[in-house]
Amino acid sequence: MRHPKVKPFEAELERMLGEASWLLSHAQALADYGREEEAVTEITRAANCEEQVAYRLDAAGREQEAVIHRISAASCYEQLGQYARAVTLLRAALSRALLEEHRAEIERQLTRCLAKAHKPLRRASSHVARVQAAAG
Amino acid sequence: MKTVESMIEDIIAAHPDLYLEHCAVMAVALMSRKSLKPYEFMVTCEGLNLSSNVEKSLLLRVSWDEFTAAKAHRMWQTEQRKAIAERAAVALGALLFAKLVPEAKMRVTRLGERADFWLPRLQCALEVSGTESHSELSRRHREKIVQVLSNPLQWNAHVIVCCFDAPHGYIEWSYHEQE
Repeated sequence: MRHPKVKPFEAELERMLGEASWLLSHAQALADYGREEEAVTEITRAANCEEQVAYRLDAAGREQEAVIHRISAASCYEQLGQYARAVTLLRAALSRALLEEHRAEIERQLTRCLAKAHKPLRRASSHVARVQAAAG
Repeated sequence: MKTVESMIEDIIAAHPDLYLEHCAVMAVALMSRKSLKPYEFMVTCEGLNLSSNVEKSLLLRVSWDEFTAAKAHRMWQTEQRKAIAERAAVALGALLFAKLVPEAKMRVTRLGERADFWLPRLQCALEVSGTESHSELSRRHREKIVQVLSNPLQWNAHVIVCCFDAPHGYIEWSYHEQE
């Protein structure tokens, strides 16, 4: 029995790199046209694709390129308001060797995302405190 | 001087990894306000290793179809001019690569709000910028060279800066190696 041909890893990676790029540019175009809901859908797809691309680039030993795509995914998640996911990706990017200027830029983005990620937590904990105080 | 003639819509098929239709529309929005079609750019090249027919300068003659023109007219009512010039420049950059370096494949990633373009087959970063002010062209070009050479992959870089002026435009296109 013949097995279906498995797509070579590199070819699949190239396809995903192309798809991520297309989704990012399409999301930008939709935003330019003011079609915000469709843009959000496309940014979500782009974020997922960029994240997958980063894992595969790591596996292929292309670590510096993986960093670029991890940051790209993080930027999408930041735009979507998914700050915790952005923080995870940015921290992973910062764990690699980076140019000083680039590191500083990512650290600024991380600080921004952390501040936004903590806001809902602070709101939730102060709400719990109020509820406990009222009950006590 | 070599003349390159093209339809702006050619970029859509030439770059399958990018959605460029809106950039083409924005380019037409600007060009059609500066001149009747075709719109011409004086392109100066620096450090490029293109075909022997292209030396330090070329004339790029760009045309467009009526469908794109109608979209461009509608877009002009809604978009900010600065954003139009930047997207329009991406269209012209994509057109230059499609016609003169067809093996180059443009891709994009994001860093915060910024779009970073790459030419992975050439292992190059690409910076593209647009303006309507001729006096700004050279200064903008110098800024972009510094910016793109600090790319995180430390790849060599192409810089394309487009000026949409009347009656014709200017493009400065240069290639830079890391020191």
